[in-house]
Formats: sequence, structure tokens, C-alpha cells
Amino acid sequence: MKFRQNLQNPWNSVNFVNSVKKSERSCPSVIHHLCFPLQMKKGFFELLGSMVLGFVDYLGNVFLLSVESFKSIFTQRLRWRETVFQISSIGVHSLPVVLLTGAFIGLVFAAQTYFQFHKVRMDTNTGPAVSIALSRELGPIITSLMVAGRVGAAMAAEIGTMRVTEQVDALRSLAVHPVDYLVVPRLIAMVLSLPLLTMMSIFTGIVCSYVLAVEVLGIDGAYYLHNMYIYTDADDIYTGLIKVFIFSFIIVFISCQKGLQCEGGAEGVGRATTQAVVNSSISILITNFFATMFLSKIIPP
Amino acid sequence: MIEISNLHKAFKDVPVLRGVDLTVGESERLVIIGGSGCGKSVLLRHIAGLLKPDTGSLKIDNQELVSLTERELNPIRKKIGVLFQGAALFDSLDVFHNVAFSLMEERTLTETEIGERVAEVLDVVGMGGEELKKPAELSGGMRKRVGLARAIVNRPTIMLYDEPTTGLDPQIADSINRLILKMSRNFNVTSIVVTHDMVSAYMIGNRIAMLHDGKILVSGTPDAIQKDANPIVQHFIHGVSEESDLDGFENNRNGKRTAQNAPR
Repeated sequence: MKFRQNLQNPWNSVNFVNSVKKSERSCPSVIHHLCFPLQMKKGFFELLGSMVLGFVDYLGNVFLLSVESFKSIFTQRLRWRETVFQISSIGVHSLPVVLLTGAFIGLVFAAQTYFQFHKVRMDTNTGPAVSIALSRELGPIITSLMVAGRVGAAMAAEIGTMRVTEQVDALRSLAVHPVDYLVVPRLIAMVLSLPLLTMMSIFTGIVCSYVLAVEVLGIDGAYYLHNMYIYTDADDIYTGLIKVFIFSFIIVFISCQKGLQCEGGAEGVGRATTQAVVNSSISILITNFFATMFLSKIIPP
Repeated sequence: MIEISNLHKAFKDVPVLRGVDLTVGESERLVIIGGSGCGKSVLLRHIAGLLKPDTGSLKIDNQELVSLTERELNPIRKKIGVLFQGAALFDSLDVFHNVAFSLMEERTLTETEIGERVAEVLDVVGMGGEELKKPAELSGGMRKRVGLARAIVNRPTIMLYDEPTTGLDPQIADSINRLILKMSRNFNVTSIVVTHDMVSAYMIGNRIAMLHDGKILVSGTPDAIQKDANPIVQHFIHGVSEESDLDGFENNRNGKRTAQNAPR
């Protein structure tokens, strides 16, 4: 029995070895000695297999939710009241935190860039470096991570609480599909809000970097802006926008899936919320790398 | 008419329903009794179309539910009203919008008609004038009443009640039982009530079915159930615990090790 328990948890190596030694004493056969490494391997592969299956199952659930959501958008009536409420919740209420983050990222990036560029007398190129970095990478990533933390957690917690208090079942019993009522308004609100939030964050970052560069670090404002206009392209903005468009789907599907699959009362809601934020953030960072590589082929930097 | 035959359901390889056979006629008031965790609520959720059975058949008005998708179930769900154990009111909506929810979703009535219908059902459940309150401001009994109003506002032909009196004081429980009877008589609906409260069961039901070990053990009128010779039924309806329930406690007192008192 203990051996079986240890197979389920092969990392508990002390117990594992002890249990095998005890069983050796009771059954000192040659077959058992031969079986020992096999059993250890079996435990490892069982764990690995269950992890892989769990991950595939999770991806499948997120994929099915996304398919159901797109089907709902094109075949079901859109709930405008809920969508507007979500735009307010996701977009308007996230604005202060997103602007603050954008401002300080712009400031610190401008300062660091200036310190390095100043060594090679390229002070006025701080402007384009900041604007391109903010437009292509920092703006989309920082804004998406902040929104995933603020809004993704709220989505998972709200839907998860509805699920454990039978409110999702109540929706279903009233002949309303949870995806139509809970997921689609959030998805549309996120797809509309996140690009706007990102643009505002980038704008704030650039304005703050200009103020710092010109008023504090003493760079000539005219050159700063002139170089920024020359080197920053509309393609940089498009790249950022395409990325946040993808990130908005990631945040909504991962967070809503965690909420809808939530089980186990308050503890389950807490776990779903944490997992929603962690999974969304990791997915955003991984997707960002591949999006950068892919977009660099279509829209060369 | 609800026909259930050979219904099986397991959760993570643990069987809960092991071949339920049950038929509920029109306008009947069936009370399903059984011990905690015996699968009463699971059976009710199957009838509401909220769970899919592993095998078996479930027909409502001669329409098979088992093969239908989530969206295909919606027309059938409109015939059914469900009162959940904790009422399951939508936290973000006030009483009016909770009750009006299904009417607003259907969009067949005007705002004035919806207002009139909501006021009518809130009066029926004795919650008139409380429209602007949020669920958090209501007591347990009030929440159940609002849940009931929400379930009947669409004029269903079948009403399902999941433990309607659990957690309520005897007076409030009595008022909920009377409301269930009133619903059944005034609106001529088929009622299925899941409970382990025998006072409710005798008061509401014109038939009582006992679920035990995932199957319907016995079914009959309240009188027939009271006279049933099966010791399991007698122990349950008279609230007598079986000797085996106390084994763990007794063995613990005697210092013996059992599954119940073994150190974990």
C-alpha cells in the first residue's frame, strides 16, 4: 500500500527507498531486484504522463471555450447592457493603473537609455529608442500583464464564485448559455478596451519620457521629437496593436475557463484566480516572443 | 410527464446513481427522500438538464434529453423551474432584475408587462415591495422566496425544488412548504421536491420515493411509506441511526483501530 502511495509521489525518495527495502526483506527475490528500476521508471512516467494529459486536457478546454465563444458571437444575440458594463469595468476602471504603469515605464526606460547613449554622444536618440520600445514591446506587454492581473483575476473570481454558488447552473436552468451571458460580453469588452488602454499607456510613457529627457536630463526638445518622428514608424504601432489583440483573447479565455471550471468552494475560487493570473501572464510572455518573431517577417523592424 | 429509466451516473469512478427508474405523472407532487450524499440532488439536476447521465434514458413529455446538446436543451428548460438549495440568486442584480431575468432574456414582453408579471409573482411569494433589495440584504427564507418567484415567473409546467427547507427555522420552513403546495394547486404544475425533512415530505408529497444506494428503494403514498416494512425506510423516516453508523465511535472509545479512527 505504502509502495503504491510512493509510486504516486516518486519524489518522496526516502520513503520510496525505505518502502522498497522493507518489501525486499519480505520478498527477497531476484525478480524484485530487476523490477526496482522499472518500478521507479513507472512512477516517473506515470507522473509525467498525468502531467502531459492534464495539460492537453486543459488546452482542450480552453480551445472548446474559444470555439463556443466565436460561435456565440456569430449566431447569438449580443447582450449590449453587459458588454457596456464590462467595457466600463475592464477599460475605464483599468485606466489609472495602466496610465501610471505606462508613465513610470517610460520614465525609467528614458533614464536608462539616456545614461547609455550619453556615453557615445547619442542623447537625442533616446526619444526614438523609447518610443519604438514602448510601441513594439513594453507598452503591449506591461499593459496586458497589468490587465491580466487586475481584470483576469476578477473574471476568474467572479465567474468562479457564480459557479460554486450554483449561479451558473441557475443561468442554465433559465435557458441562458453561460458563454453567451458571461464570456462573450467580457471578450468583446476586452478586445475593444485593451488596444485603447495600450495606446494610452504608450502615449503617456512617451510624454513622460519627453518631460524627463528635456526638463531633467537637458536634451534638446526639438531634436528629441524630430528623431522620434524619423525613426518611429506606423508599423511599430501596428505591431503592438496586433500583439494586444491576441493577448486580449488569451486573458479572457484563460480567466473565464478557470472560473467556469472552478470547484471546491472558497479555496477553489482562490486557486482558480491565482491560476488564471499565472497562466495568462505566462501565456502572454510566451506568445509575445513568437508574435515578435513572426511579425518581424511580415512587418520588418 | 417525466420518465427516467436505468439512469447511471458516476463522478471520478465513484457511482452515485446506479440504475434509477422513476416515472412522474402530470400535476403529481413527488418527494424524493434519502440520506445525505445518496444522490438526490444529482437526480434532480439530471431532470433539470444540468447534468448528463453516463447511461440510461430521461424523457420529459416524450422527448429524450440525454442526446441533446446544451443549446438544444433550452426549449425544455423553459418548461422547468428550479429552486436551488441556496436559492442561487444573481448577486449583482437586485430582486426585481433577478425575478425578471428570464423574461428580459426572452424579449417577448414589454417593460410594463414584465413589471406587472414580476409584481404578481413577488406578491404570490410574499415579497412585494422588496424589488430594490440586493440578495446580500435578504435573509435565507427571503432568498428562497425570491428564488421561487424567479422560478415561476416564466410559468413552468414542472417545478423542481432542491432541499427547499434546509437551513430555515420551522416557521419559515412551514411557509415555504405552503408556498410549494400553493404553486402546485394554483398553477397545476408537476412538482418534484428533494428533501430529507420528513415534515416537508408528508406535507407536500402525494407520493414519496426513497433513494438508497443509487436506486429508488421504495415509492408510494405517504401512508404506504410510513407502513413500509423495509427497516432502511423505517430507520430513515423515524430518524433512527443504524448501528453501523456508530461503529467508528464505539471502537474509538474501546481503543480499537478502524478506518474511521485510524491516524492519518
